[in-house]
Amino acid sequence: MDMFANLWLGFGVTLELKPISFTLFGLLEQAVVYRLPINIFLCFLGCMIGTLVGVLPGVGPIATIAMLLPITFGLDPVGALIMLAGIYYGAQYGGSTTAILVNIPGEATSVVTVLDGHQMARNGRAGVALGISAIGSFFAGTVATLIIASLAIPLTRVALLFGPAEYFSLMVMGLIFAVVLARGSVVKAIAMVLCGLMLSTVGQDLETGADRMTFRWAELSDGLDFAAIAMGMFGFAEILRNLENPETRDVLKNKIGKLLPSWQDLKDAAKPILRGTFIGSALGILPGNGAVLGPFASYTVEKKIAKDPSRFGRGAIEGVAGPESANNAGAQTSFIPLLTLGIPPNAVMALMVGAMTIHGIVPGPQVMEKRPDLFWGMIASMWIGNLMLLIINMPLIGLWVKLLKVPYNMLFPAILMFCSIGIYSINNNPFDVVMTAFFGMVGYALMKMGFEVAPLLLGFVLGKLMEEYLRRSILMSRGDWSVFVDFVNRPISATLIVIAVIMIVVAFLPSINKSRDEVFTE
Amino acid sequence: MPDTDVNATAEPRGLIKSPQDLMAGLFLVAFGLFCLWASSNLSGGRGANLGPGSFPRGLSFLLMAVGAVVIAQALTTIGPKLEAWSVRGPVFVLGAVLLFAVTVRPLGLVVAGPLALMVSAFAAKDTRWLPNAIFAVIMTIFCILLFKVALKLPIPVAPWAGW
Repeated sequence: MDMFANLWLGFGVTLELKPISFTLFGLLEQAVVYRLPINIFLCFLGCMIGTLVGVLPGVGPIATIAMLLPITFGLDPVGALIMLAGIYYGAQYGGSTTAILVNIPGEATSVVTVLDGHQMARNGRAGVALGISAIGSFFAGTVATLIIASLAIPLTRVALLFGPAEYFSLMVMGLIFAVVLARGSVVKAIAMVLCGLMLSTVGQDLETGADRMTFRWAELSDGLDFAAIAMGMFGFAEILRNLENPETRDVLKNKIGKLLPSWQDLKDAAKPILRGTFIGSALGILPGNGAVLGPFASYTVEKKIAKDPSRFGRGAIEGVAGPESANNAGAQTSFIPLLTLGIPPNAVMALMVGAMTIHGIVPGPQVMEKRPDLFWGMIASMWIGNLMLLIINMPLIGLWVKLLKVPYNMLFPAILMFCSIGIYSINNNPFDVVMTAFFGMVGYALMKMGFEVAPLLLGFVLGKLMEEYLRRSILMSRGDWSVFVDFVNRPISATLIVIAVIMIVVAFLPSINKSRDEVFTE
Repeated sequence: MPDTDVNATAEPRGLIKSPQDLMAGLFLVAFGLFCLWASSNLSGGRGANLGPGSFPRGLSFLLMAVGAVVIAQALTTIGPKLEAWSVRGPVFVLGAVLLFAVTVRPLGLVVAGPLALMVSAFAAKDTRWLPNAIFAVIMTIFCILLFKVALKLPIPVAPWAGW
């Protein structure tokens, strides 16, 4: 089996010993060289930071990854991506801890865990809730890793058949999915995508080298900085929002209780975990923020098929096991569109694109061929990371609970400091810091106008490529704009556009719109 | 979930049914117009060859169209009011970031760090001077150790002392 050979290669990369030289901050005359499994260490570090971030309400994974990007500059690309991936799925884990213990979703995907998880905690079963969510997540992570490994090669082959027109249509479809699956108004989400695309055009034109919308500012001729937009709009704007709605953290005073679920608990949770894993995996692959939908879908399914649905909301273990598994599975499989097609399905993956680009890797189908070590190393690290999370979360839970007591007025200045130093060190340029503050203000204003900024970041990341493919397609078709919907010569492109159109029409149907709102408000 | 639903009231408010959407729509139209003007000096290209101006210009028109839809929504569908804008948060938070940008090069992290940390903390209402100052000093030392010593990022720590 190819898949296992590849995974084996991946494990090799993750566990590889690398020579690291220590100069003890320049004090030693001769560098001491050790051989260390540095990737495993980075994976662990990512998982720890991710858990930390997930636990702390008010610090999202997007802001964290954005602010830690500069720290990964000195690492090799494999290590950097392993660490960033660890932060992402670590945050998914940590979010459930806060959901269960404090009744606040630490992260958007743990919104449903609050419903039954916190009730379980109230009933004195906090430990079991945490335990079952960790076990479910680990199982889901394992299955999702296998799904990624088995889908990667066929999907990449498909992607290699793509010409510029297909790519353009694929991106249109991806963005439409992102818009439809986003929270809030579809029209406003479309507007944000367009704004993101617009921002991506600032800087030199790819073909002619002409300065575009730079207003003769030399600083703008390289284009707007991705990290400045991400940190400003997510990091700073998020802080501004949190400062306005001071949350009260009602940390559970009961004992957490034993972590290991009883045999009966495991039996009750087994099927929901299985169902949640598959629901989450399937939705996670979808372009758009499918990973967020997984837990909602899983919760609805469990409630529908339960013998006694009235138990839900009062501490039903199925209501924790299913969504938590779905959540982690979706987080993992959302890497598939990025790794195989080079298209980020959500804002976190958009940041991964940013990270890859900084390291000189263009995400897409060619990565698997050119850098198999990076590709499979990252996938293998996900499984190892999930195993680590099990260890990080179960015995150390007391430590995380203590972290919940860090007051926000110490937390946010620290975040600001990290972001400022990080953004400065990307180009050693104070102008970037000013830009970040500017985008912080823009993000705050957009929030006040009822916009969600995640689609903007997606649009910005995809913008340059989309324009390039659009211009190339039109050039190749000699100015014929029907090239994207030409069923005879370009069936793939036409199909993708049709799917996109159907999605958008469906999203505007009043009845669907209503049930969509219900899903997001529940 | 968007707090918008919470604020939505059942009673229609005259001609403008959703002030928030009206604001959003006007912003989109204005941004579209601004981009159209900003890209007006770029050649649009002809026929098969799309020039540097085509994409931004196309986007400008789309933005204005979407803005018009949002404005139409604001006049027909009941939606949330405009939320109040806080002044304290943006002033202290973004002010601190700007202070950092201005001071980091000439004065280094030793000065820029505590300055930004202390100023930003006053964005929260319950911040007190002394704990805040102590925290700022500890945090700055931690950042110097992490970014300069451990990660070796070329950030000026104390340029006046040659570090």
